[in-house]
Amino acid sequence: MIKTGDIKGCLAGKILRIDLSNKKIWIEETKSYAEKTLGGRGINSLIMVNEIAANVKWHDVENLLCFGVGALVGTMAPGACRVDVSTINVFSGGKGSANVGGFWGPELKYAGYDNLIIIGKSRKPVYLYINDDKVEIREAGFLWGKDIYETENILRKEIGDEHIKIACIGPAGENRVRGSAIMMDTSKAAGGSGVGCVMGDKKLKAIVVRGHGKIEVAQPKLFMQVVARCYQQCKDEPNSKMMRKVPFNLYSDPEWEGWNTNIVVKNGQDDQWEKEKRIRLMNSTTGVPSMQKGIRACYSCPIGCMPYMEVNKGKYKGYQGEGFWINTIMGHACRFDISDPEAVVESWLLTNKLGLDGDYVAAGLSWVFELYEKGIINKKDTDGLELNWGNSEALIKMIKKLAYREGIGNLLADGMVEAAEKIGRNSEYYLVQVKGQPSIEPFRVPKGWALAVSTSPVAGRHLRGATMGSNRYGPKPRPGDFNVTDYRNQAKGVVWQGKTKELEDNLGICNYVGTWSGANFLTIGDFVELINSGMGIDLTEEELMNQYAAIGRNLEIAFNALHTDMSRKDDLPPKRFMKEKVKSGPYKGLKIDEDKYNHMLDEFYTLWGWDKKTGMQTRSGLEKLGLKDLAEKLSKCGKLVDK
Amino acid sequence: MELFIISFFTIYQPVSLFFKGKIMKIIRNSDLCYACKTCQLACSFHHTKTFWPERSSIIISRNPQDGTIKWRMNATCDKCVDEEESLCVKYCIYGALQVVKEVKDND
Repeated sequence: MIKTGDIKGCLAGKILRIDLSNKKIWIEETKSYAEKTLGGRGINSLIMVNEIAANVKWHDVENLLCFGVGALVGTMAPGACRVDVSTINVFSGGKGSANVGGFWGPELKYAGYDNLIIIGKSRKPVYLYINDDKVEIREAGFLWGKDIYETENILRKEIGDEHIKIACIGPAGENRVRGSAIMMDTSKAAGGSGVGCVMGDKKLKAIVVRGHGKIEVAQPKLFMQVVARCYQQCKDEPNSKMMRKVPFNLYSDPEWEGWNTNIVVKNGQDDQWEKEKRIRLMNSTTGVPSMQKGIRACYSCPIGCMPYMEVNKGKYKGYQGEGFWINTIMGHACRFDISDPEAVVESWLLTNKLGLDGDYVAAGLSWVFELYEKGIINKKDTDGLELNWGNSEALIKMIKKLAYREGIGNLLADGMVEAAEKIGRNSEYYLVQVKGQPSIEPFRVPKGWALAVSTSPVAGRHLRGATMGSNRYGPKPRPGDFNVTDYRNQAKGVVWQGKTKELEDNLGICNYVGTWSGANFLTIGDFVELINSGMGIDLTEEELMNQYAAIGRNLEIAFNALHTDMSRKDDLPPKRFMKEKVKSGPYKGLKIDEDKYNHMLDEFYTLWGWDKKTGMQTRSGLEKLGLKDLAEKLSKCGKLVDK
Repeated sequence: MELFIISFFTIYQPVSLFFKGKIMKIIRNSDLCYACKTCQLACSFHHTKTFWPERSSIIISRNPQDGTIKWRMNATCDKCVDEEESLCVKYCIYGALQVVKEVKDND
């Protein structure tokens, strides 16, 4: 365990606190928080659990918007660039968290801050300007209403420094559209949990950062030896070339196994998309890959996975920007049955430009398309739009309506669950959501994916432990031996992957470079060596996985318990996928077997040390992690199993 | 002092640096540059034994909107005299930076 005074490197050293209501700015030291959680999301979670009272809602002035840059960010640790944005989840009312890469996080550390914690609300639009010790709350009326691109351009001109890094919201966040993102460096989205909506609610348009300082490590020579070895590992890994230029190498193969396991079509009607549509969308001559003009990497990243796109023909010709992911295919293509490559790229770029979360757009709007197909809503409800499958023009118009709250967009902006209540007529059955947040994830085929998405403490996203078989891009040391569709052993893999993600978010290492892809990049052993030589401490792999990773997840589960009525029932997948089977393809006939899923869930709770019956935390489990005070707090609210 | 500004679209533009009578040529293939700034960070480590991008001899900036990447090298580059190889080149995993020639004046 880390003792007081032990940490000697990697941290910037300060936490910046800002009260927007009272225009106050102050700082405190990072170390005491880092001793408990290392950094990044861990510190955000600790502050939220300690400081946000149980009755506070996301739109209250007491809600905190927390930016946590990982402990290794700013050093040369491979893939160390990530920022966690935590706040009250606008969908679940519990813990919200979104994770984002790019260049903003390292810049905040060079300015001298590991975390930025914002409380209160401004009456008028403001932006923050952080230039090392100079921190100002500035008037932002001239930026209000501007999209992400415009906001960045105006701020660069206004400040006159091309090296500033900007995190900002677009019209969607300003209009408090629930599924709004905070965009960093133009195109990287902290998308989930409605973090952009909270930022808009605080009338905070942007956070501009410029840092001129340094990050020191405890043992520079040793640290660089570890870095050199890690870089060599990444270089030697045969999968790294395949994982770059992603649209070219992976998804453009119509026989790629992911087409069978990762895809949900027409809002969940099937999990198989026709081959001719895959080819139309992704062929290298006229499809999406033909629009890729280059690849970009985040800060200190040895993989590089981000295509720079430019629409090269058709009516959207000339639109350009970074970003095209598997989520683009899963969401903006397959869920709407749209195989027009230009329209898919344009709709994705537009989603970024307006500051929307891509998954919210895809899961929410494809639900509306299905309601239209089923006749639950009609042209009168959609402002005259024909929301037929494959209608890309309608999708693009709907994205704008959502961001600007125009017509039906106003109804959908307040949340899809709330919209379903207003629409009625069994519309909620068709809405794919977990803990209130719309979800684009596959549930019926990959069982570990279903388990991780359904149990994610931040509601319905796949980064908290989703597995796609035990040998994804493998082989790499990981527990369990299971195929994608197995129920057996799956929980073991999901818990292991969930724990590694806890560490990655605390350290600020991209989980693609870390353990998630399954390629031979970084291992937990590498994390240990980087932390020990960088921070000057002496942790073991066992301590990292069973102590620090477990603390991270338990803080979020406790936050949910204190703030909501979540229980075991909220860790189940959407009912639709327990009733309706996959209609075609190699996995035709699969659905989620509720009994087998529940057995998997039992195993999952046991492995985390929680009560099997209720999913609640136990006193002995929390005390083992040194979280005695938290156990007491939960016990007083009746949210702890006393064993 | 900024000596070079090379746009994203410039390919194979050689950069010659004069230091202690040596000529070092770094080839930068801008088609291969992913703008990860690792070279900038590695360079700062060489100079300061810390991670201090402001003290780097190479400054990278990128524009995510129009796709351009700018690469600037200033006069503080000392050729990594005390390192086995230039750190910027060593850590450029994408192969965008390469030392292609090293000639001593008195050779």
